[in-house]
Amino acid sequence: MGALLVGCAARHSPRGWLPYAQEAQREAYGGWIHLEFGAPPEFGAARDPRDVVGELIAISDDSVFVLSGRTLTARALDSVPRATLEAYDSRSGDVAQMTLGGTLATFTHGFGLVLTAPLWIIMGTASSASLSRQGRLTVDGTADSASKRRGGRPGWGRASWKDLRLYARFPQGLPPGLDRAQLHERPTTKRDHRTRARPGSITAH
Amino acid sequence: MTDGIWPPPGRITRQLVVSVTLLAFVLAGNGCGVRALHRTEVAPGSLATAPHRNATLKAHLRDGSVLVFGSWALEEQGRVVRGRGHRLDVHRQPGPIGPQSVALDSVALFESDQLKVPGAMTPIVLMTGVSVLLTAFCVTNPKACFGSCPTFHAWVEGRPALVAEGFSASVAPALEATDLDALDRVRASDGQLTLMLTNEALETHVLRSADLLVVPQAKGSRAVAAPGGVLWSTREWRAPDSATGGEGDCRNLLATRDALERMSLADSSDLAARETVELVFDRAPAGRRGLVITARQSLLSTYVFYQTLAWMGRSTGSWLASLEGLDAGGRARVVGPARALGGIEVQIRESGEWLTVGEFHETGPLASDTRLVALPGVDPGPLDVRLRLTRGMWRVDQVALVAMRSPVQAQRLAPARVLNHGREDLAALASLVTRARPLVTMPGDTLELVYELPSDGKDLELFLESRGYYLEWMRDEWVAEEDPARLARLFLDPQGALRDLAPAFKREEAGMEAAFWGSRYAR
Repeated sequence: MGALLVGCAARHSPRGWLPYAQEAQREAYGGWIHLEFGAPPEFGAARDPRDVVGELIAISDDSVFVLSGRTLTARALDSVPRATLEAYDSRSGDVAQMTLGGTLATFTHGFGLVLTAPLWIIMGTASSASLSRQGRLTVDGTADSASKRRGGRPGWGRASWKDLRLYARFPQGLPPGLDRAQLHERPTTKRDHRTRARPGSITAH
Repeated sequence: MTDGIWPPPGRITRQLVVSVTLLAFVLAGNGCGVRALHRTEVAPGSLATAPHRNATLKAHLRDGSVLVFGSWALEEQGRVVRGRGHRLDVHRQPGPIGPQSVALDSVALFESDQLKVPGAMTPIVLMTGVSVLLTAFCVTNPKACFGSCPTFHAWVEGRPALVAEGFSASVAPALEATDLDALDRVRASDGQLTLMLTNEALETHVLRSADLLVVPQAKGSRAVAAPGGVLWSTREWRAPDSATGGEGDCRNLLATRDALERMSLADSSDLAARETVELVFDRAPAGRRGLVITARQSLLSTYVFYQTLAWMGRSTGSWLASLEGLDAGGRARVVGPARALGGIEVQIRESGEWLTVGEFHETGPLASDTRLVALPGVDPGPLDVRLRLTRGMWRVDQVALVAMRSPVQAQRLAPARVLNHGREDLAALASLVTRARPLVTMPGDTLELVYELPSDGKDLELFLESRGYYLEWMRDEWVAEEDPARLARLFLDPQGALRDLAPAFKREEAGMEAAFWGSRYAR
């Protein structure tokens, strides 16, 4: 199964940093962004020292603002060849576990496991790989203008800087008079149970 | 052939099933609640059409704070959003949850966040549903899923497949018998054939022999077993030109050996009620001819057998042991229910009357077997044949009219090697070769029987002759149904007992068949 999971998109954000979709719906932090200045990194390779990673704070007409720790970094949009944003945790890892569970459960299907076990592996792996790309947007400098020409909101995948604005902490841009030194990073989510709250029943954090 | 190829069935015990199922549910539970977030910017003029279901509305204010509404409405002629939610300040510190309102002109940007079940979860949800249904069915009907009798698997067209089940009717030492199964879908190569012998049910299998019968295949000829185990060379196989059952035309299902089987449902008032399938052959071969049938039983016979054991209850051991001392009359009574269900009678029309000229019989619902029934008459020309069989009892894959040439002698081969998880099992080999002591297997046991063929095997027709018996393990739920009176009625009046059983079987028939087909992998 591990080999099949090669089709999954790699995650850049620290473990536990990204909110689940339900949590992202109730809070108002930015997504995790990776401004890539070097060549696209190979899996496991060290990041280019020029790269910037952290919470997406805002995108203005000409700049992108990223909070790394307590440091707010600004980069000109034109200078960033490529950026990847992770908006929320799509829980593809949980689905991979579910696939493992479902595959194990086919043990109880008798002869049927010859059919159901491969089905679980194939469909579960495909679902997990597909989910791993949910909540991710990539801005490619060369594709930006083309994306804009198409108009409208693209699906998960290739996007423009404009598309990414909604996933910033301040989608309207940096508020006037904001004390940048007072910005603090998004706290890591502590979960001792799965998030199931419905939007109609918002609870305190 | 490849050694150690297919997944061993493993030891199917209730405890293990429960443990694995619990683990599976724990892991599967992690996938619950997976949602996708659909975030869109909402223009103030479009707020009325913003989604409410599973959605929040965020009002990003110019000062950097945010109002998150769980429920909201446009009021004051669309100038104010009012609802219930909380405020997050510019540093995202949350305020108390309660009534909130904001004027549209003080909002820099509205954002709608809606949760949806990701499309990628659809296959997972479907598979979970199918898995739960199959698990539930297999726990309550283990026979339908975990097989019965010694089962033999081999490679067929590049895939492992169930190719034979041995002595299915031999449910006690007194009923020990020899069973001959055609391995007509198996083609050996490299001068070697490997059969996987498995015990996949809660049974003890006692195997005296498992010999391969090998017949050189002449061009245009095929060997088929006739009653009594005689192998005949046959030629000129012809599919029926028409075939009509109660459901109508069924020729396509019966014309070829393709695992597409003709079957029907049992009668709702009498499990032994018969139906007929009429076959027309426009041109019969001249000379001696016969009808070749490839078929297997449905789960009806399995159901009746299990019900018999349930009515025996705690006395099952005594009942089976008492078979040893029975005279011919007593044994006839014991097999009375099986006789009442019957085989597939082959009839031909003679002087306007249908005459029974032979019968196909093969016990077991798992692997089809191919048998030859000789037909009287030698004249070429049209031939009407009728199959008379118990409704819902048989899955018929193929029917063909053939010219019978002559009996053929097969070469008998005992296994050359027996492998137990890849290692030579000399004791098992000795059991099957010398037959001094039987080979006994328990649930989950798997052995590979390796046969050395007289040629590369490509031009050989193969049959498996196995001998032995098996013992069912009693289940708690069966003991609870102990009923000597109904058991006595089954043996003394099998026809009446099968009528009584019909409603109970019909209640389960649909589920049994569905799960069987769903779990079926034999090709």
